[in-house]
Amino acid sequence: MLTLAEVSHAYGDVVSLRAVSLSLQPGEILCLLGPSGCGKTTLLRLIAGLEAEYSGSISFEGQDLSALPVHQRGFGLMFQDFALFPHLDVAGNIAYGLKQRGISREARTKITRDLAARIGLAGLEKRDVAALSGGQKQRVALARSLAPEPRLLMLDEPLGSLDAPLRDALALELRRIIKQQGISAIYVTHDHREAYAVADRIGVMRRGALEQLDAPHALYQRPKTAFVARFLGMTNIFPRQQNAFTQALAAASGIPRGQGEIILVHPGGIALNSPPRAGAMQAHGKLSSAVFRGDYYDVAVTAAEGMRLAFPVKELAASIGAKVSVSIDYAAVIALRES
Amino acid sequence: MLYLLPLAFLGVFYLYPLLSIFDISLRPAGTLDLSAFARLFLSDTYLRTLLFTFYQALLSTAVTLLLALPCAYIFVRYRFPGKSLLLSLATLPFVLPTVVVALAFSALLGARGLVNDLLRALFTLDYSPLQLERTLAIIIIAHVFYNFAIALRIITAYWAALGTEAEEAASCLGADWRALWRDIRLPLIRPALLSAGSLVFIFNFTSFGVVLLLGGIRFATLEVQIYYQAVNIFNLPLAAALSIAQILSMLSLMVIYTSGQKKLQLSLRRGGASARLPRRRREKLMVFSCVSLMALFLFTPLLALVARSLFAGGAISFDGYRALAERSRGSLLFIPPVAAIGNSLRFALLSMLAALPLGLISAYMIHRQQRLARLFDPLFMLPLATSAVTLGFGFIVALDEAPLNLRASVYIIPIAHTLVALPFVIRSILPSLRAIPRALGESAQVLGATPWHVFTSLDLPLLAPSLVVGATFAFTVSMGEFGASLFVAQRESVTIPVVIYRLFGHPGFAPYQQALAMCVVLMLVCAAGFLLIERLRGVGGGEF
Amino acid sequence: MITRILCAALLVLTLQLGAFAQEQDTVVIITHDSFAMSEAILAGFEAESGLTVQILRAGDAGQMLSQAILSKNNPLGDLLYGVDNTFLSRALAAEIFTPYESPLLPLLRPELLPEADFMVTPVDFGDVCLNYDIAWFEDAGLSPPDSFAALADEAYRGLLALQNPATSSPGLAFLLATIAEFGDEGEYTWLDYWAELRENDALVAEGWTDAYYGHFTVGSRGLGDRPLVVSYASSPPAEVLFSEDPEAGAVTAAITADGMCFRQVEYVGVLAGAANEAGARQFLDFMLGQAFQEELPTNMFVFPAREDSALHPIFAEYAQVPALPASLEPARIEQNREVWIQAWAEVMLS
Repeated sequence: MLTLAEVSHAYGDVVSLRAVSLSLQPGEILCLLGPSGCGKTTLLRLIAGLEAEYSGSISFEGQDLSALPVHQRGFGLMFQDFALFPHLDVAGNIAYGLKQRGISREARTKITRDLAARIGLAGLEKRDVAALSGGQKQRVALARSLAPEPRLLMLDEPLGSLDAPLRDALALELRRIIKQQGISAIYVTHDHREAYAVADRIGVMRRGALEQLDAPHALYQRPKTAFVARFLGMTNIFPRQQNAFTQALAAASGIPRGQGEIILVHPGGIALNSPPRAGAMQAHGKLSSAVFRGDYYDVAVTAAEGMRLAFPVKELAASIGAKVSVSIDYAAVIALRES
Repeated sequence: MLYLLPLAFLGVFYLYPLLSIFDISLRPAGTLDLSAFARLFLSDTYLRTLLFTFYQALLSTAVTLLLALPCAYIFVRYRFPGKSLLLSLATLPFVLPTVVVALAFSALLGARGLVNDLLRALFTLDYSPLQLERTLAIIIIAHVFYNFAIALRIITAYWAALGTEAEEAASCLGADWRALWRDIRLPLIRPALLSAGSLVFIFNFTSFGVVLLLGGIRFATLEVQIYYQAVNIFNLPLAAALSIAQILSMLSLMVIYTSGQKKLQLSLRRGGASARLPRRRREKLMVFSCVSLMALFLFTPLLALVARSLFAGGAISFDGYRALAERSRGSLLFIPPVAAIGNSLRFALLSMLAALPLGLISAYMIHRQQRLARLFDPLFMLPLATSAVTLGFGFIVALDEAPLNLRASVYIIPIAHTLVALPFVIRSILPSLRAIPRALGESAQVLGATPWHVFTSLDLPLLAPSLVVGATFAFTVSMGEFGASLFVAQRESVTIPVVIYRLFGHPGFAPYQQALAMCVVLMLVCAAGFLLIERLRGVGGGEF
Repeated sequence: MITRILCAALLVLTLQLGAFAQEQDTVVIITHDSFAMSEAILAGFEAESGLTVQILRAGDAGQMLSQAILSKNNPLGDLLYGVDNTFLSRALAAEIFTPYESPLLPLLRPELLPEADFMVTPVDFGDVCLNYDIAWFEDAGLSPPDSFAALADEAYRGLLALQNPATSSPGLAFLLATIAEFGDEGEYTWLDYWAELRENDALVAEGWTDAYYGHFTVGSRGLGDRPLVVSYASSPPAEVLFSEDPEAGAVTAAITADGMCFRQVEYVGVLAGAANEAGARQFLDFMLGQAFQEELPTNMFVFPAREDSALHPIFAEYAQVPALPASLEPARIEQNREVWIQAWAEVMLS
């Protein structure tokens, strides 16, 4: 339905988007993930029509959007700091888009009341928006974007200003509500955990370009570039030529020379003190750190060649400084591109 | 404690003189005589005058805001070469004496003015199609000419510090341009709109010279009536009754305005929304037409003055300017005009230095003391709403004993100027002050900042754009005022407007040209002052 | 940064205020804002008397008098100069003056002396007369009106600019001249005359500057379309004095036919309760002295009250002094001012 082809954009001399192409399926939630300044917000603004100058094409259901003014696109955009209307109350905010559609006052009141109830704002309709808590503001902003039943919902760091525990809960709730409405959504965030929780597909952006676009699981399992891997929180990334061990590991994992000069050792394929077995390579080192996380430990082992491998383990018997062995599944060794 | 400063200033230099003159006027023989009020309400002359005063002020204010609004929008949203210069220069008309503006307008719009000449030549007419002289229309045009900058600058300074998210959110929700103005922009800039509107309204309400000169005898405002009764007829009771009626009308309006002021939790940001270059054809056209219309409307009358000051007998001549450098004819009033420039600047500087801190303190007081604000907010506006003649007489009766024997002192000039400049500073600052998020200062205080540090590091940078506007108006008010300067005529006190006024009091070609040349000098000095004040904004930075 | 700015501001403030120091041993003259006198002349008086002269310009003549009356218990100055015959009665009734009989009185034109027990002394006079554009009338082949009655003639339709008597002193003077001419009793009063003027499209300007520079063909350099304006008998010589080429002669002239001018006499008086009464008397005598009197025409465009004063050559050549100006009793003016102006406004506005 939404298709972007070779979309580029610049603010003056600063290039903010480089030939981004993607397409969005009906009912799909697409996450755009990336550090600040990577162009993800600009992409949203282009799709919404808030920025007009770009090259390439953006179309929706086959219709080119370049000539369609913002207010006729029928897209919802939820802003990073919510951009609630300070002069309207909760109900006034939620009903604003309905009013623009020319929906009657009675219908507006009903939709607003239903939506407010569904989103957990029941009873707050007459409240001044300045008097709301962060979570409540977020709900109002969401309700406001959803009320006119947009053809496409865009959310720009919707949980950015909230604290962590609230964020996890609300991320799931957001997904539930969006799915319930059955609309397509583009969700911008810089937090990969949030993206995993919400997205059907995740696009990782870097310096204005779309680096990888995949389902969350595939993205996690097979990041394509060092940047993506690092941004997903992975640390076991080494140049193939770092030492004899990395070279041997890459060769044994079946990564042809010249294809991957950087390798990632996926943390899920590393085991501590397990006996040597086929399909895995054994290495020895010292346990250099261990952090208790409740259900598991985050440990790091410094192997003999100075390589530091980090991974989670279920149980931990060794103490810090102890000599340990690790076994690395060949299947967990992935070739990365340097972007 | 600091709050006492502006209160004391207002008490001593406004309330005390005012009450003294009312006392003398209404209690001439020791007993209160209110028969003048009865006359006020029984005669429909005065009722008509009151109604007309309201009507023309309302109309002028509405037109001013209506024209300033789209221009403010363009100034806030777009970047274009010469923008801040244009914004500064737009304030120039404010400084010109009414006699001069009347001349400039008849040079342009009069029966034999430029526009009519043009229209006649264009359509080969044998009459002047534009007949504006002595109509309400020309009064309104002149009021807009004078007050456009007040509205433009106050609104722009405030608006530029608001973000654009609310607007963008509304666009995404399907708001077209009409809905954006109606539902988002107007409500959000309402505080600045009201602030500017109330200033402009008061200015028009007490308009004197413009109405007399351009409107002719058919139109008279309350201010004109007060002058006539106080000076020509010396009917002090009636003048006092009219003054009180004038003040009460303004006061009631101000009270409605203050209590109608809904608190908006907006957040100003340093730098605010970034203006950008116009890109699309439509945007370029908009910027171009706004700038050219503004230039046409505000600067052609000024240019007409410049042109007339330079032409003598069909040739360009600098005689008017040359004469300014001389102490012509050795007369006391013609001090070398260069000296008048120095005097004007000295008073303007003093008034600015007094009005800025006093205005800032007052604004904080109105902002912080919510309950008292209802009282103080209108109070600080009153000097603008008080007839100059009444207050002048009040000075004479009240400030006649040591240590306040200021009647003939030069101090009276900066004091009077400060009194008038104060409302401008307050009205410029208040909307921005109200929009500073409270949490900002509180969090800074939690972090260990002293109130002074909070003020200098947080509030001041956020207020800087509004302070610049306030300072500009304080400077301009002082540069253009001549009533108070005229009164104390020691040599040090002869200011540029006084010289202009004197020169225009004589027949002959030379004084006429010199007066016009002096007007041009006044504009140049003011323009230079504006640019300097803009520079001071370095303290705050930001787009405006 | 801020502190430094504040310090600088304070410093400037102190320096500024220092510039306005007050002087002692002064004589304070309260006058209207058209007062002007050569600095050399005033300096001469200061040198001779050892007094410092301070001039307070208290607005227009009406404002000046109002302020003097309001402050009569604690006068603003020692001498009040500039009350004219239209305001004299009000000043005398308010008892703001103390009598002084100058030894120079016998030298003044006797017709200017008021019946006022030496409360005030005439200093100068000026006649409010119609001025006309000489070239315009020549081109039009029309002769300027030689009487009020002629002025109402169809031939002069749309030619006259005059001032609002409510706000302008020459405007009031012209009104008074017509009242003196037509009276307020009988079948045809001054009000009927003004109705005719109105019919004849007389233009009412706000004040002298507006009328002369805004509407008079000569003064407005072509912007205005009125070749006839109410001004002063001294305006034509002033035009010559200040013209680009004084040799070229007069471009305007005053109409000084009998009864068509109104004479404004300006008086000076010592204020009751003056702090420096002796100084005030000294300055009053100085004002009647030849040096001051002879400078009056070129500084204030009025004529000296002394009969024996020599006029500036341009004034001697171009000034026309009406032989028989109109006159009205000051008391009658004060008594009827409001009623007359009100009636005038009704005629002109209805």
